[in-house]
Amino acid sequence: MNTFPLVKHFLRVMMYYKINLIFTLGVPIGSIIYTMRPFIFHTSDQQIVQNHVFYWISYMVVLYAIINSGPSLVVLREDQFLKMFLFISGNVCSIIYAKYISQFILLTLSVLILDILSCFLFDLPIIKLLIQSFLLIILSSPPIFFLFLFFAALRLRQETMIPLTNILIFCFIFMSVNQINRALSFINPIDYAFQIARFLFDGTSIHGFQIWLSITITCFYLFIGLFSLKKIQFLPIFRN
Amino acid sequence: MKIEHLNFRYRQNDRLIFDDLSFNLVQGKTHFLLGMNGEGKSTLLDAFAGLLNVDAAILNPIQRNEILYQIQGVPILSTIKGKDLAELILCGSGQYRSGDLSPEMCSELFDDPSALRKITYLWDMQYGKMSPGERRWLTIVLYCLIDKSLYLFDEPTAGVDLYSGMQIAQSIRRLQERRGKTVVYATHQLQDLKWFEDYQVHVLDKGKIIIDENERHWIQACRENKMPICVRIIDEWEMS
Repeated sequence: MNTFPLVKHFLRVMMYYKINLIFTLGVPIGSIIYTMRPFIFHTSDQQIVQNHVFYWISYMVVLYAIINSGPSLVVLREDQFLKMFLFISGNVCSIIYAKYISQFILLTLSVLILDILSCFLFDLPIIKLLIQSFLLIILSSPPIFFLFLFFAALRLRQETMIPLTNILIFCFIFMSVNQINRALSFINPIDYAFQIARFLFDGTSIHGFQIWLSITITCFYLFIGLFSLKKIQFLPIFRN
Repeated sequence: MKIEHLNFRYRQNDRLIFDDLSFNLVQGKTHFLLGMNGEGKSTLLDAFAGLLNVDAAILNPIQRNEILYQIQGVPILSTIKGKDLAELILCGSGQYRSGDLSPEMCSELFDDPSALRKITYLWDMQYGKMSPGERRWLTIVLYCLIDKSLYLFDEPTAGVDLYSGMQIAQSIRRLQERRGKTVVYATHQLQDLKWFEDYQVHVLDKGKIIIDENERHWIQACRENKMPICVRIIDEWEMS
């Protein structure tokens, strides 16, 4: 399978830029410890702490996707790596698949660390939390990764991409913290992932409308991804 | 593959890159594409690779997964070793398995035993510690081990010393001599032609192919043509 060497390469690149770990893992851990500090090493309302953990896992799913999906393909396109590998591997899908797998591996590791730390600090049931977290990232990560592929279909320079993704992630956090409008989860993937967590693990608050809304959003994200796959550009912008 | 009546200009540029250009790629032959910087050699390679939307007539097109395209200056993570690069390129092509890789597999490309010693030396060296010429040479040697129908080389010897240039040219020559592959070799370094015996020369100037001759007649055709580029080519050829 020609995806494995690419996965290995992308993992190497991601590990090389360790500073990203501050945003993907450091921010969630710091935030959980700060906001839940009265509950550290105390018996607490587990549902509140778990919701907090699931919120930050949702954030991690979105952040990993936004870093490694379309915006990352734009960087590869402008460096001409995308063009080079398009011809070595013979198709673009193996590159995108390798990107997804590599970010999923690191996301799983980061979530594992977050879960173990949360269980240690807040006395949560570790096996249950690990299974729930894994289910959450399995279900929410593919559509969100697909959604951000649309960046690769746009004629954007890589210099534009980094500030744009930073602004986007702050907007997503702002919208989800302020709970402006449920319909906004169409454009806010953190809310979307968090809603999935609530449906899966907080059965008391499920409404039929919310389930249909989540299914609709999933289809919408996947549709955008498939459309972007067809429109993806291989030639760097600086050449044309 | 044959391209007829190719007209092309970039979207945000009024300059006509190709003006009713025709190009016949003879199977199993090395085609040198000569031209000054900015004349559109790389763009023509993009057209062969099917990366440009052009309205030219393309007869017997070659599928993308049957083309290998070497691109100038693609940045690769500096910490990976020669063997990791080999795994990335060769296993990424789907034609090799990780366990098959060794420096000895490159021996079919060289007559000179020192080349094999050099490959063995580079195998465990970090990519960032190799000289630009060594990086280029190693990458092209690895490309030459991949089995495709059409090979596109964009300035493969640019920025490398004469000896490394000769080794690169020899590796490419083997593709045609021993495996009967079709090669397009874009360059502005005329000394590269001296390492080949059976080839076709195409001179690109102002959007047209002004010379299209084989190894025996191209220099005479340049002498008879009074265009400034032909005068420059003759001068350079006689000096090299």
